[in-house]
Amino acid sequence: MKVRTFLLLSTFTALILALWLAPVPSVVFAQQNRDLVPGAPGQGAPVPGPGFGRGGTPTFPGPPAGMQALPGDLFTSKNFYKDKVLWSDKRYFRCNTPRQITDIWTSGRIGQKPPTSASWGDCNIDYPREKILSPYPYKTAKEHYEALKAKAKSTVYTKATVPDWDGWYSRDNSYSGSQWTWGTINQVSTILSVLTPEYQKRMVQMNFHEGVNNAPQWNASFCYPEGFMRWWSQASAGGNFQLTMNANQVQFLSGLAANFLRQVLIGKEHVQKVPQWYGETIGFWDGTTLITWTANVQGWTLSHSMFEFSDKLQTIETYSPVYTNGAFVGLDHEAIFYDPDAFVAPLHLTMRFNRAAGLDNPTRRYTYLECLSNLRNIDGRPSQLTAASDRFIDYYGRPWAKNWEKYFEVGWDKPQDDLPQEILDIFK
Amino acid sequence: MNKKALTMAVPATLLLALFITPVFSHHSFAMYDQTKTTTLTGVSKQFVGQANHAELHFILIAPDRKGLAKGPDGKYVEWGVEMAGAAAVAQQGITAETFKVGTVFSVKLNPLRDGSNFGSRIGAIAKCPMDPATNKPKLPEADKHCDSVPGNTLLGGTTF
Amino acid sequence: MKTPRVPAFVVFALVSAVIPLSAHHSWPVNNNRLVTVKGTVIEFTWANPHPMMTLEVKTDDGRTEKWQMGGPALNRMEANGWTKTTVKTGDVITGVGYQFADGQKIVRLEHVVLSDGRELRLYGR
Repeated sequence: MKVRTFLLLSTFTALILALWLAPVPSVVFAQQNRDLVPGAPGQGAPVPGPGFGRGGTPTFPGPPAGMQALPGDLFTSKNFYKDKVLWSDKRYFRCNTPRQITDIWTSGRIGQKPPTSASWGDCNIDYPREKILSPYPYKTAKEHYEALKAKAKSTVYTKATVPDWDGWYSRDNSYSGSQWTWGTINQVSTILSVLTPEYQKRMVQMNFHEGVNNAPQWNASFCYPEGFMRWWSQASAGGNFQLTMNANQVQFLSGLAANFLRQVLIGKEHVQKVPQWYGETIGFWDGTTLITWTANVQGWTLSHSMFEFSDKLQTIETYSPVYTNGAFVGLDHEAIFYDPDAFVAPLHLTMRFNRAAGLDNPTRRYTYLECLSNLRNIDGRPSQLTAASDRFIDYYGRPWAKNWEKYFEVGWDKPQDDLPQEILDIFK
Repeated sequence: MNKKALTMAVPATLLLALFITPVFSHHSFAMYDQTKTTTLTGVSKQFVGQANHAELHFILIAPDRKGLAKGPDGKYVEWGVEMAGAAAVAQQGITAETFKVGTVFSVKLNPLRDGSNFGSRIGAIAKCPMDPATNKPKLPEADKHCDSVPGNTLLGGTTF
Repeated sequence: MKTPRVPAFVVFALVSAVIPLSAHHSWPVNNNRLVTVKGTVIEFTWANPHPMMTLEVKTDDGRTEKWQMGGPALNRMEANGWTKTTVKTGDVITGVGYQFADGQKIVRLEHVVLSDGRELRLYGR
């Protein structure tokens, strides 16, 4: 047997053995291999480093031994559009994850001579593309929904019998090792590889202007809507929700910068004629599993050096209960994302949500959010306006009155506007 | 039961990391110059208890600590400092009540890169104590800050 | 996208290990031999993707062993009459199924006999 073939076969055997002989429970049985083998609950593989990939960032001056840097990359480029053939090479992004590029200025990893002094990330960190892709044979959400409905044991609940899932849930962070929508576990090029050419271009555009020009355009900075996909982002807190159950609708309420409201309309059809910021969701029960179909989504951006999505985005999601020794623990969630404009194939993500409290908890309640911002782009970069600026809005200082006083009460004889007495009194 | 599952699932180091990583903010901190620290002492004018970022707007006290600072235009000098969300800073004892109008305090911040009078808070806020005899705040000496005044309180941290 | 620098057939093997062709092919079990395990349930997790039971089993030589056994997604098990309380800790049950080919004490169940004598299938016919 030729040496090369022998080596290849050895690698094969070693890899398969490594997968199958690892002690139980182990990474092999982690949730990302959900369709393969049983896993102990919550056996996701945590991302190395604190902060789930955002802190303790690997910072290297160059590529690892044996790997050559590209002669030109994102951080030396004057026009990323011309570098299209390089986008699929992780070295173009210096092996940084999308999140690392989002943070590259604030973390200092941009170096002393930005942008060319940008640090390298860990070229060995990545999450397999195969696990980002949907394992199911369906090509559209409609096909998927109808197939699941055909196989289902149709269940109709009444107000009295609907599953008792009500409560406050938070994400199970032991799944952080599989949350590719967080932008923390993949090379940029791996995420690009599941996008269509137009959407690859848009993601590289974002990476360039955030990482090289230091001009982040975060949704919450300008009070743009979060947008549908940010329910699955790390910082939006979309996954820490209040859940209310009803025979007619199942409602998820969450958010940090803006409110995410998702309602599953049980047994209904889609009727909205225009895209909705958080989509329009219908669903049905298959025993104790809730199966949902979200359509009519407003295309937007996941932001933070990740990808945009189109109006064609639809999801099929399932929610099923988790009981340990008869006690309800939380919900197991699986989402398949369909977007023929943005994705080359349907994508897949699973998460577990643990119930932290019931709705009977005396102090927990949902805090409704209004996004109030004095951040504006000045010369292309977000800047905090101060009271001195013309466009500053003193939200808590009677902004309507400030406008009238400024434009219509100039020169009027009225009581002197001065500092509050409590301040002046200090030096009396 | 749920707590147990959570504790088992999240190793202690990761739990700790949840609290020491930068606050999940609704904007990037790139607009602040994180290599510069500015220390200011002033009088609270308005506490803005926003969900995402609380802000404290204050009038600067003159370096000699004998009056309010005046800018080159002869007007009082107003500054703003942003910090974590209202609920989070309330846990640290920082509220509209504890920083009501007239409260004298000192704060360290990373200023905006564009030079405007606004910054992002670093570390604890030092509140000057009240003088029970005069019922007015005890001010620091010239060029000093509230952390040097005996009886001062540190809020939201242990070092100024 | 640039293909990983691993021989094609290794990639295929990995991929086929991860993506199920159908539930019956997704557990790395030896399909040629049915095993029977009887023991006391010490843990029962009723959750997707696979509800799992841990059994404490007394061996012939007086030792105790731990065996894990599981089934398909909740909705499929429910269709076969299972609920979250079908099995409770302390129940003595008998599980019949296919064991991991590498010898680990993990079984993909075909059916169980519950402590009250009832027999339940895991997979539909």
